[in-house]
Amino acid sequence: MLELIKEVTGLLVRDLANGRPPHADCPLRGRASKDLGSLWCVVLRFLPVLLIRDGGRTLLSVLCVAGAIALVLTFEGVRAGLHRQTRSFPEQLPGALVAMQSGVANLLGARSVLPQNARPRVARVPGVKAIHPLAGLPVVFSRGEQISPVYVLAYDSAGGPRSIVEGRGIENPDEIVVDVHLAHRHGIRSGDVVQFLDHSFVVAGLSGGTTNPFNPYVYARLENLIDLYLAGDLPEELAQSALSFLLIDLEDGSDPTAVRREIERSVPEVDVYTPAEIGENDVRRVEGFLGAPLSLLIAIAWVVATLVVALTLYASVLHRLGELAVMRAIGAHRTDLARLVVGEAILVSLAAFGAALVLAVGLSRLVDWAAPQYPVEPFGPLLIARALVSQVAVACVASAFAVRRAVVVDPALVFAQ
Amino acid sequence: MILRWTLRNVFAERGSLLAATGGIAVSLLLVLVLDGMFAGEAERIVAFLRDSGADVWVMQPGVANVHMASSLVRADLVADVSAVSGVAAVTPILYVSGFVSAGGREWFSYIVGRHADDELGAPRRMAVGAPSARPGEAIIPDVVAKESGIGVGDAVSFLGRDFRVAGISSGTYSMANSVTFASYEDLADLLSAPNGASYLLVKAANGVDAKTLAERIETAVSGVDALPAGELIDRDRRLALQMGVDVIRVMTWIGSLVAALVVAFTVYSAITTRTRELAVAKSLGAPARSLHGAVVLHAIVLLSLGYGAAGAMAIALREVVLRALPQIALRYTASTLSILALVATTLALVAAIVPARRVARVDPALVFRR
Repeated sequence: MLELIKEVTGLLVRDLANGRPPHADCPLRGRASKDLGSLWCVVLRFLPVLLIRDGGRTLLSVLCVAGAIALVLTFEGVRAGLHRQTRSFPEQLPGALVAMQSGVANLLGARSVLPQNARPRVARVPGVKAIHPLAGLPVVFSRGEQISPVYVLAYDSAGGPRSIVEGRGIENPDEIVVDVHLAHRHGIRSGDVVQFLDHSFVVAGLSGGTTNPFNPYVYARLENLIDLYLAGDLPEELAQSALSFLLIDLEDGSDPTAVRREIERSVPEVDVYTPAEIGENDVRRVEGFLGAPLSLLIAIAWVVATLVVALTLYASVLHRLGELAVMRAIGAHRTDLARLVVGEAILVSLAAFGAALVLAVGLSRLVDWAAPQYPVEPFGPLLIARALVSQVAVACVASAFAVRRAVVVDPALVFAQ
Repeated sequence: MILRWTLRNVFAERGSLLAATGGIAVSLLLVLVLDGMFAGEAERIVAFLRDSGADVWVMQPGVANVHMASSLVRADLVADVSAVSGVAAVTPILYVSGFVSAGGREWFSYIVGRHADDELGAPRRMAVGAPSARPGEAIIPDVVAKESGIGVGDAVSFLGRDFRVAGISSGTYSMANSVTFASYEDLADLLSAPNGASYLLVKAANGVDAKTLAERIETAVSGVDALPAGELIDRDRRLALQMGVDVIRVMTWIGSLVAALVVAFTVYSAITTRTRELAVAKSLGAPARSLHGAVVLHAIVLLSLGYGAAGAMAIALREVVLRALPQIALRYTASTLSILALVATTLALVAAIVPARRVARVDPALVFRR
């Protein structure tokens, strides 16, 4: 290839010396067609050479574009992870329906207080098979210098921890099960004794799937807390929340909508939701808190990524103006140069997209290690498709700007090298 | 001589200069905005505590927070605390979390009940209306009013009761910790706590240290804990930021990593385009020191322009966000600006020195063979 360039340069010098346009009747055009098939073949032959010859710089371009795309994937993944994590806990509550204080529609951070007589009244509604009471209370958990908001969920016949990842479930009085990420943050292991709600509890086990972005869950047995409260060992607010939710099992064949309507009619102090609805309400609550900043950050990430991709590809073309001048000198048409530039942009973009996926996995793992309460899920199919399409579009737009610069390149520039 | 030549060349290639400066600017902007958002919310979260005027907070034993906490003490302890040496004023408040319904939307808020004529705990700045709520009235944050489309005289509801908006306060909104004010009487009624107070806000007399005063109060008054405001603010900030807001910090790490990559690449790329010129300069006798100087100057010029552009864009963005998304606070701190400048300069110099060293090692005769 270098020999070819040298030969073309020699011919070009001769043409210029004779006062002929540099590429109007470049004698190599025929040779190029004969040797390589067509000028497009020249482009295709040149492209890998240009990219590989400057491998270090090309690799950095790919990395830079990959970083920008990974940024978008990861930021979008943070939101997707928050939503999934927020939704998953309430969605997996046992029971077809959940009753809570009228006006309350969430589990996340909610304080629901039901009258004690709500339980038998709900149980009497036709279609209700069984009722499982839950007490829920957001409190502050502190250990040494560490403080964390947590949500105490005290259960009776159902609604306890679904997944124990260390130790065991609650079997004895004065035991609790703590969310595994919360436990790690506070350096707690199963079997440890912790001061909690002004009382000493033994951590029987650590639970998985109980983290959320606001307050991870801590399980206790309902009767144990009530006993402790009656003995004067627990704060008064616990008594106010001793009945927060009712998990409702339905008779086989009963219509959940009809049962729900009847419960709300006959017990006006409660509102009834399905676990899936509570999950959606919790997601809406997270969006209420964090929706605006997350949207702004994601929008900024898209803008930054777009500009970085465009500027990187544009800079790459500027870097190759010398080579493009050689191409012009050997008779390449503007369309050929345009194809070369766009081809390079798309090639770099596609390579970068693959690298971005790997980088996004790395960033997700890093976040999972450093802040496990925030799962990052950057691989939703829609997100991937959107990112890929956007990136190729940006690459085309950026290369359109670069093409304007490339096609007007003076073939004489080759002598400036 | 070579430095002047470098400067002339840097500014001669406007396309390259724009691409390099733009890449650096948007990367630094990303970090500034991410950190600014976190810093802004971290300040807003504790705005009520900071602006309350209290030097010491007195609360139920075992409680050491305001955010997420529930505290109840006897209201008649006001007299006991007032009698402690070094206390200038005591204000009891009731404090509870709830959802404020306004204009068809719901806002999580802490609701503070205080007597209209008390000295401490009032909103520091009012956008409009009265600074204290009378029975049946509420004072809501300006962001809630704007986003809900309501004003003074309109109705809001919380804790199952309707209130009339008597005032709109500034600086009392945060994503995790907004504050709505009501009358002490209304909140005592709603909480069934006519003789209780959640917290006692204590102002220290001139020259009395808050920590000393807190210790004196704990010694003199039984059945309460007392914390200096600074300590309480620190604990509350740490706690409140854990409730979702520190996701922004996680995103700041990610953004910073990517920004570092882009800054390093941009500078490296810009310097490598001048490798041949530097090789020519070397072949003409320029010493390695001059070549390194030229490279460093090039990197510093790019970084300075990028940093300046990022700063200008960040300020413009803050104004846009202030108007379009008032629930978000962007706060650019001097420490962040300094750290960012330092880290970016280090990165740029490292990225620039790599091609410079390559040029310094190159055989000067090589340039004539190219």
